[in-house]
Amino acid sequence: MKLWGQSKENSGATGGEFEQAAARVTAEDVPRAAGAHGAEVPDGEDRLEIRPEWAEAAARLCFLPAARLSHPAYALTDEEADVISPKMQAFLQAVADKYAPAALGRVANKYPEFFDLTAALGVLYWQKWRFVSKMRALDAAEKAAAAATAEREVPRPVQSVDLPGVSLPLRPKVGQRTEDGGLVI
Amino acid sequence: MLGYLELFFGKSFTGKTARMLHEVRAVPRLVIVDPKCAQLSKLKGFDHLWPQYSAKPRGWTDGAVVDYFRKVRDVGRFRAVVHVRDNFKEQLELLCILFRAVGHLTLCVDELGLFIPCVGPSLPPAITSAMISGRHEGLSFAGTAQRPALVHITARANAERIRWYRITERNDLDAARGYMPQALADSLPGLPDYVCVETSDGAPAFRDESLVGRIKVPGALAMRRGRK
Repeated sequence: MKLWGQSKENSGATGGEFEQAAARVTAEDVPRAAGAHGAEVPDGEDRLEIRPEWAEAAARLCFLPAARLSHPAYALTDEEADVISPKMQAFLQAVADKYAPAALGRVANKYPEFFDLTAALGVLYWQKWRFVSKMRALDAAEKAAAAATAEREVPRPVQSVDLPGVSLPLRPKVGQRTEDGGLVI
Repeated sequence: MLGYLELFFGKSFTGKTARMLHEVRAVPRLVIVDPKCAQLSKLKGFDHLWPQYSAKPRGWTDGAVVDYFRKVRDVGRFRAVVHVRDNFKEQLELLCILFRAVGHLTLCVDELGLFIPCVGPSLPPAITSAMISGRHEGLSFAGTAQRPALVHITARANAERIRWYRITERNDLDAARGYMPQALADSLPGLPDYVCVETSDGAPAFRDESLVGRIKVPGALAMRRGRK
C-alpha cells in the first residue's frame, strides 16, 4: 500500500499528482479512469453477487438432512426449488451485503485475537491447500507419464515363425537296409 | 498543538469540539469536516465548502472541493470547513485521497464515529493511510466523537492523545478504563463541561481543567437563548 505522500518526499504534490487525485474523487471521471484498463468499475465496491444456482443449492441443502435421515420425500422437487430459490437468493444476498460484514466487523473489534487467529489459520490453510493441490497435480502427471511409458513397453504376443525346414535323416529300423545297402543291426 | 492523531470523546455540549478548535487555532493549513452542518456552518474565518456527492458514479459531482484545493494547495495558510450531509465514510475517503496530493495539513473530523464506525468492514485504504502514516508525511488528524466505543479501533489504537470529556454509558466507560487509572475512569460520568481527562503515549493520565471559562462551545450561547 502506498503511504501518504510517499513519492513526493514531503515537499508538496506535483500538479500531475493532484490532477490524478482530483480525477479519482470526481464522479464524472471514474468511468473514464476505469476505461483505461478496459474494464468497468463495479460501483467502486467489491460486491459478491449470489447466483441463482447457489441459492437453489442452498435451498436443497436445507432439506438434505431430513431426506437422508428420515424419508427421501423430504428432498425438494424442481418445482419447489424454483419457488423457494428467489427468497433464498435475496436472503443470501443480504447476508453477503449486510449481515456478514457487520458480524465480521463486530468480531474483529470485540475479539481481535480470535479474528487474527482465524485469519492466520485461513491463510495457512489456503497456502497448504495450494501446496497439496500442486503435489496432487504432480503425482497425477507422474502417474499418467508412468502409465504411458508402461503402455509403450507392453510385450507383443509371440508369433509363430515358420523356420526353414531341416530334414533329419530317418534312421532305418533294425533288420532293414540303408540307402547305400548296409544292413541295420 | 496537535499530535499526529488526537481524539476528543465526550457527550454533546461538553466542550470537545470547542477544545479541538482551540488546539488547532494556530494551525496554518486546516480542514474541518462537518457532518452535522449546524454550528460549524457559521464558523467565522473559514471557507465553507458544500460538496455534492454521487454514489453512482462514485465521487463528487461538483468541483467545490477539488477547485478549492487546486487553488490553495501551494498556499501557506488556508482554513476550510467541508460540510458533508450523507455518505460520510465515502466522502472522508475521497477527502483523504485528495489530501494525499495536497499534503501538509491538519484534518479535523467532527463526530468521527459517523465516518469510521466500529462496525462494518475494514477502513478504506486512503483513511487507513491517513491514520497510520500521517505523522511521517506532515498530516495531523483530529476527531471528536460522542461514543468512544463506536469509533473504529484503528483510530483509537493509533491515537497519540485522547481527551475524555463526560461520558456515562457503560460501554464507553469500559473503553476508557483501558487508558487511565480506575479512579479517573470512575470520575468520567461526573466531569463538568470543559473538564477532561487527558491520556497520551508515554505520559500519565491527568485531569485537565485549564480551559474552563476560556473556550466556549460553538453555538452553545444561541442554543441557550433558544431555550429561554
